[in-house]
Amino acid sequence: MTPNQKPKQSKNVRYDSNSIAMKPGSLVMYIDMNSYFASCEQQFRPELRGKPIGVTTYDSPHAAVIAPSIEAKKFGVKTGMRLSDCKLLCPHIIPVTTRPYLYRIVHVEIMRILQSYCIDVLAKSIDEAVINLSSYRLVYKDFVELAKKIKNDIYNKYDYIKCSIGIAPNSFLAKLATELQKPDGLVQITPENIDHHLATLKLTDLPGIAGRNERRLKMIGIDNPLQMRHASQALLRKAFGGIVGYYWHCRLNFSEVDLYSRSQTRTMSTMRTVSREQSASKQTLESLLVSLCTRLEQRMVKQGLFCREASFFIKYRSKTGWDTSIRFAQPVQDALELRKYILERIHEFEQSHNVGTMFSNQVQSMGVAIQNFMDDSALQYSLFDNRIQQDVVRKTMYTLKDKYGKNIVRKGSELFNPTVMKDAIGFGSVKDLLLVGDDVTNQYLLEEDY
Amino acid sequence: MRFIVTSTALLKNLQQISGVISANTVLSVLEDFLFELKGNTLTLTATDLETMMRIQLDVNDAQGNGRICIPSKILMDYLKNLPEQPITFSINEQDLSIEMSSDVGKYRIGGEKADDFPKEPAPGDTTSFNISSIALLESINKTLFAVSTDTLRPAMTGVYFELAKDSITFVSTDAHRLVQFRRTDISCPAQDGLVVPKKPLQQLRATLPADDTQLQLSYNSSHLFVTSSRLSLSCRLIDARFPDYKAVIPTDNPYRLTVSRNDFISALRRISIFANKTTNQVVLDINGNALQLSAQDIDFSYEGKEMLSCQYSGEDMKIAFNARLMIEMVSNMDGAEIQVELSTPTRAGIFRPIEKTENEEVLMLLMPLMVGV
Repeated sequence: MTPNQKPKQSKNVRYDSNSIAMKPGSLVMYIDMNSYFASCEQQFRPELRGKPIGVTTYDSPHAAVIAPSIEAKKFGVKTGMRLSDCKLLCPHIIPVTTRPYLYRIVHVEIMRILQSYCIDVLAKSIDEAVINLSSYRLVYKDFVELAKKIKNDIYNKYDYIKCSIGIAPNSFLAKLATELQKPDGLVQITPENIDHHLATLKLTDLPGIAGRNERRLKMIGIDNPLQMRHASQALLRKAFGGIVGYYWHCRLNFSEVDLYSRSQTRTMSTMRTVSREQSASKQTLESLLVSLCTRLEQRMVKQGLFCREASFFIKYRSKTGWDTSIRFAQPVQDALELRKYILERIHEFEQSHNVGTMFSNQVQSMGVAIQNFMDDSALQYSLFDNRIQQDVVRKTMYTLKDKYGKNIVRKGSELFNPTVMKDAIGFGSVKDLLLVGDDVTNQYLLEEDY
Repeated sequence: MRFIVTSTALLKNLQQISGVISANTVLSVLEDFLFELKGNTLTLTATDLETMMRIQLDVNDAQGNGRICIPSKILMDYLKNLPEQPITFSINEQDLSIEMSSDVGKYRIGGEKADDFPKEPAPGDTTSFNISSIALLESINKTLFAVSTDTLRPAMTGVYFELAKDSITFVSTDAHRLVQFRRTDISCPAQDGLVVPKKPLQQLRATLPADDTQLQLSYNSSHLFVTSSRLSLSCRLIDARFPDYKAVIPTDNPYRLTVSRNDFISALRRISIFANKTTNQVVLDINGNALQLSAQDIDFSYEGKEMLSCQYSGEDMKIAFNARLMIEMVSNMDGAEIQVELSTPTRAGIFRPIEKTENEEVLMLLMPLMVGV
């Protein structure tokens, strides 16, 4: 290895891989935070406690509630409802604008608590985590006691944030266990009591079974989860049409099929839903595109990757949409370069089809995905249009952000329309928040936008 | 129309032009050879609409002039399986039937109308100069390997012919490496630049004799015509601006590494076996007069190191290159020793042969791999 080359091991420390998939007869603990975003807000704003609140991505009566509080849920408020609809169900609902950095801070702290009990922790999302306790059977005699201890630790740190914990031989059943008792639940599913638990459930209570899957199962005579568990693999294969049926058989019979090791990033994507106010301005929409590209740039820089392909989609309120894929001659990491290629493609389409502007006031959402990655440690630069300097500057900029705060240095493009560029949703960002020892990668994600 | 021709002679001539025919064509006539008989001279033509190649041969007992398109695949397959012997072609241009009779049998195939065959671009308003076959062949050999296959940058998918009053420079690049081959024994009528696609050059490489046969090169804004006594090729030029290659050739690479060409290639071939298959990264660690080549593939825990003696003037340095590109470049050089001119590990290295050949100047440029920039 050359002295300048980075050690490869650091890239393997990822949240989406652990050893669960390898071990038969595993024991998994699933932690699901209850009404996570809303609870975080209530934790840090005591005046909101005990009140129905709805976390929204932006401050508008048309905004969708991405997380109702436990109190609001009692009125029938559900995730994804428009604020105006929520008010019909719960007139006193208090809208609260999302603060993703806060949820990430709490996420990191909770991950720290979990990691203090077991090193094999996998963050499934910002409010869910899986702990592989298979090799801790001798360390902890009673896993229910361990779960209580974890709950207690979380309570000591954040008294208003509750979680449901499920314990089971695989992650699917552990997740199901968290659904059985909410909020603040603690359920263990074992081979001895699984039938008892399943007997109380409907098919649609199983995560992943909704309308269509339910109909499929009913068509072959499976009316409840208990029948499903005792159905033969062949019958389930018939119901789901192949391998999916086999997976369901595994899930309900204690084998692990939902967690798998994946050391290489195959694709990165980011999307934004656009409010009516935002879509009214073409400039705002273009700024949103910059923010999408910037998010991908951050992730590529942190993982030391360049992409060779990108795709872009735009959806309109009329349920129509447009998408495009672009292959780059030279690997790309820079947000503005990514944006430039996407805009070029958009303009090309606008001109060839004479459709006016694609960034019309009817835009409902848009997203960018990148793939076909290559490692920056062996990048072959071009003789022409050589971008070594830009790449070095970009990398240095993120190093500075990590060290001195995210606002210490910013690109001009990020300042153009900062309110639009503000990061809105924190669901997927856990992929970029890796705990390495005491440090967290992408420290800037834990800081507030200004 | 009727003529007699030796099977091997016909096959040999057809093989010289058959490379032009594309495997997947939209027009069936593009799968054909055009046979034109005039007196005792048979002219064979093949085209893919971009490149057209024509060759002439003499036939015996020719009766009547005429033209017809004959399907290439069936004709070539037949000729390949026939021992050397005269074949009589009897062609009926009315019903487009072709009868081929040999000592052992008679074969009949259907042709297509000659009028459907694409016309050759008219070489009007061209500028011409002469070059020997061997000189053009060598120029192609020296540059064609570095041509890009990336259709997103069309200018790089061909060789750039830079014409000057006292020289002609052939340049090819795939953006990571660049080859500049200059011949100073050719004078061109004007300063000009043409980007010639890869395919016709491959055809010329396969066809041109390695001797002093004089070729005439004519060009206009859209086409290049290469003509010799019995062979002619015309091709459409790439309509794109070749990048400003001179701007990327470093003029201030102060460090000089001199190494035996054969030893260097052999070492690279061995070391690259242990390199990462995607990047082919080989690190050159130059320390005094010792050159260490090393490569590793972390995924498979492969590692290789090799020492090579060299002459070096400059600061000790460590620079990584793609071994596959480097082997191709150095293999396409002549002479016993090569010189690598370097400056920093992030700037392009210049590769040149130490021994100078008269009227020839070779310069190759390779961008290093960025080791943890």
